[in-house]
Amino acid sequence: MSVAIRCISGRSAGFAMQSPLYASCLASSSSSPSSSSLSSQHTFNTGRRGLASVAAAASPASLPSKRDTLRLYRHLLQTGRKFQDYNYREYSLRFIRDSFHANAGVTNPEQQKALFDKGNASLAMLQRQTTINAMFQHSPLVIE
Amino acid sequence: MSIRKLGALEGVVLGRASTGLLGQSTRAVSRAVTPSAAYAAAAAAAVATTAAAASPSAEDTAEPSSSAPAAASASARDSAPKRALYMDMQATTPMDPRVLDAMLPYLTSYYGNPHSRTHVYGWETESAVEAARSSVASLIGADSKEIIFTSGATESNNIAIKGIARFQKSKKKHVITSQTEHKCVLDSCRVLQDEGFDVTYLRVQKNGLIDLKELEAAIRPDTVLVSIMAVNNEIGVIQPLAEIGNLCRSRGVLFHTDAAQAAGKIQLDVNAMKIDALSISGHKIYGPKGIGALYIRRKPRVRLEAIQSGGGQERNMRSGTVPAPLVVGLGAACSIAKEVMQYDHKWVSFLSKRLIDGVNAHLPDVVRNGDAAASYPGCVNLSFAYVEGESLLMALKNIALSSGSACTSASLEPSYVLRAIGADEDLAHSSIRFGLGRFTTQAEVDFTIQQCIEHVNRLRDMSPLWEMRQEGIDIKSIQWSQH
Repeated sequence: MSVAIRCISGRSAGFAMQSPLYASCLASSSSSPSSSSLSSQHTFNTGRRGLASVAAAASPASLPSKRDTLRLYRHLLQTGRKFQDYNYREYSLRFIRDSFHANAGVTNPEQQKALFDKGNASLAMLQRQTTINAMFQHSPLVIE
Repeated sequence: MSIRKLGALEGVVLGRASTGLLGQSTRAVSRAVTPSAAYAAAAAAAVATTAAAASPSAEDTAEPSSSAPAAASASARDSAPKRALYMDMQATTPMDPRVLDAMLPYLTSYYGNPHSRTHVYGWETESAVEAARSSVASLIGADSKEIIFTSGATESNNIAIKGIARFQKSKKKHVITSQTEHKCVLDSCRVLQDEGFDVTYLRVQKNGLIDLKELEAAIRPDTVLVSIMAVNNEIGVIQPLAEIGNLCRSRGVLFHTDAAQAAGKIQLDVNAMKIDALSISGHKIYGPKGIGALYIRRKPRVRLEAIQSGGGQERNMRSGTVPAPLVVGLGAACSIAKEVMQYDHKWVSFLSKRLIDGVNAHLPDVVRNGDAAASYPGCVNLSFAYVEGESLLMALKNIALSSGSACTSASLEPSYVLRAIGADEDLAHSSIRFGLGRFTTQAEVDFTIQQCIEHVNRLRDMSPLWEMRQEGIDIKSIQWSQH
C-alpha cells in the first residue's frame, strides 16, 4: 500500500490564522527583505501577476515578511468579498480579520511559517469556493 | 365544552374575530363560540390581519424556489424576490465552504469504495475515511476505533438505544430516558416497550434540566441504559452530563447521550463525562446532510446488537458502504468545529445576548423557556405573552424561524418539550425558537429584534387580553362563561 496519497490535501485546515507581525515588524522588517529570495522581490513589483504569486512569493525556505503577510491578508479579504452568499461573505471577512488580529503576537518563526502556509491554503480554498458559490442561482437576502 | 379548555390565547383570536365580523368591539368577559367556528374565524382573521398589516416598504420574502421565476416576472419589481434571513440553526445549518472544499475531490475524482482492498481507488478513499474518523473522535475525546459512521443522529440513536438494550435483553429490562428527548429517542424507547422493556421517562424541572435525585431513584438493578440528550434542540438547555455519567458509572448502568446539537458547540469529553455512547449529526455542525456518527466505548467494551445487517462494515455495527464524500465532509466539519469552538461560542453568545436584551428592552412579558444559565446561547426559545405563535411566525415572514422543533411543526399541538417544562398552555402556543450560529451576523440579529418588536406590538394592540392586562385585570382570575 505504498501509494502517494494526495487525499490529505483535500482537507483544508481552515482559514488563515496568520501573524501580521505587527508587534515584531520593526525588528524583522529590516532583516526579512534580505532573507527573501530574488523571485519574491520581483513579485512585489508585479502584483498584477495574480494571487497565485502570493504563494510563490514567500518560498518555503524563507520566513514570510511583513509585506507578504499584509499582501496575503489583503488578498484573503478581496477573495472573501467575492462570495455571493451574504452569510459566507460576512463570516469570511470577520473570521479573516479576527484571525489575523488574534495571531498578531506570534513570534515563533516556525509557527509564523505554519500560519502563513495555512493562510495560503485558505486563499486557494477561498478562490475555489467563491467561484463555485457564484455558479449557482442566488437571490439576495432581505437585508442586502 | 368550557371555553377555558381552548386556552386563553384562542380567546384572543376569537375575540379579534368577533370584533372583525360584528364590526364592534366586544369587551364582554363571556365569549360564546364553538370550536369549529372558532378555527374558521381565527384563520380568516389571522390571514386578513397579516395581509393588511404587511409592511409596504419591506421587500417580500422569496416564494418557494419553484415559483420564484414566475413571481419575478409577474411582480412589478425589477429585482428578484428577496430571501428571508435564516435564523433556524437547530433545524439545520448551512454547509461551511471549507467542508464543501474538502468533499469535492471525493465527489469527483476520488470516487472509490473505501472497502475495496485491492486497488488504489479503495486505498485512498479508505485513508480519507480513517482520517475523518480520527477528526470526529478527537472532537469528543474518543479513540478513532470507537467511532462508527451512520446516516445521521436518528440512526445513531436507534442503534445505541435498541442495540444496547436488545443485547442485554435476557438479563436487564429497564431503560431510563427523559421527557424532553428527541422524537427518535422517544420512539425507540416506545418500540422497546412493545418488546417488553420497562421505560421510565424522567420528568424535567421548570428550567428544563433533569433532577439527579430523581434519576438516582429511578435506577433499578435491572437498568441497562440511561439516555439523556446533551443539548435540547428546542430550548437549548445543557444537561449535567458529568454528574449523570458519574452516577451511571457508579451504579453500573450505561450512559448514552444524543449530542446532535452539542457536538462542536460545547466541550465534550467522553472519558471525563463517563459517556458510553454518543450520537453526532453532520448537518447540525455545518457539515453535509445524511451523515452522522456514533461513539461506542471500547474500554470497557459496550456490546450491541446491530440493526442493519450486511457485509459487516463499521465493526459489524452498521453494515453498508461508508459514504466517503459525506464522511470526509463530517470529518472536516468536526476538525473545523474543534478549532473554532471558542471563537464561535464567543460570537454566538454575543449575538444571543444582543437578541435577548434587545427584545426585553422594548417588550414586556417575554419569557425565556429553559434555564438561562445552563443553556447553549445559540438556541433562544422565547414566549411572547398575549400573542399567538403562528400569527407571529407568519408576520415575521422575512425571517426563517420555527416554533417547536422541525419534527413536530406540522401538528397543531404545542411542543411536548414546552409542556414537559410546565409552560402555560398559552405561553407554549406563543413560543418562537431563534437559532443563531456561526454564519449569523449582527445585522441579521438587529433586523430580527426590530421586526419582533414591531409585530409583537402590532399583534398585542389587537389583542383584547392585552387590553385587559393593561387595565390591570388578572387574566387568570377571569371566569370564562359559556352560553
